Amino acid sequence: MELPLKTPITLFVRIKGETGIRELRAVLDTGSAYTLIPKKDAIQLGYQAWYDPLIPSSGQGVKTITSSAIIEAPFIILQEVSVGELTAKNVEAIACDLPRPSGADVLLGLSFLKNFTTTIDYKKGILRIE
Amino acid sequence: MSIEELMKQFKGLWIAVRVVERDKAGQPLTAEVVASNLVRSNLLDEIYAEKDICIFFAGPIPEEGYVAMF
Repeated sequence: MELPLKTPITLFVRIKGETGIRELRAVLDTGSAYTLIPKKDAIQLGYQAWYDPLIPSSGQGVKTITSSAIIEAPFIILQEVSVGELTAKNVEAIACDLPRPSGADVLLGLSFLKNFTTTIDYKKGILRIE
Repeated sequence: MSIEELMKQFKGLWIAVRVVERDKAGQPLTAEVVASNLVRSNLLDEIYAEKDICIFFAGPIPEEGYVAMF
């Protein structure tokens, strides 16, 4: 699958849950160990993204280092994440909202990309995932 | 309507669409609008029952005046 390169690298991804499929705009992030999806989307898709570090029975969380802070966010396993015909199953993710001005919903991290060969060719202006 | 046209018509809003056509990479090309809202969370409340829906901000990533450093 080939896409024209933009800065930042953006693409639509399809995320499957128990209740349906949500297609969201993602930023490709090779610096993120996990994929990130908005908390409310995760919950609406049927994931247990209720984690609160102050409530021991609220599920599983993960301490996450961002560029500006350490946060503790709900950890979930996404059933399927697809870009075009490429599908990865059991994708590790955190449920957390990006700041509004980002305009993006998802950070597509290494938990998705590790299933594929990804080529970022700025000279040719092409992103290739295969 | 094409995604580019939707970006112009709904500029600055979050929109929920049903994808009609895709390009060869599987990316949405054309879509029909289901709902739009200035507040993303409110949009999600509106489309809660949809089983297969595409949601995006009608604008650049990041918004004008910002640089993305994820």
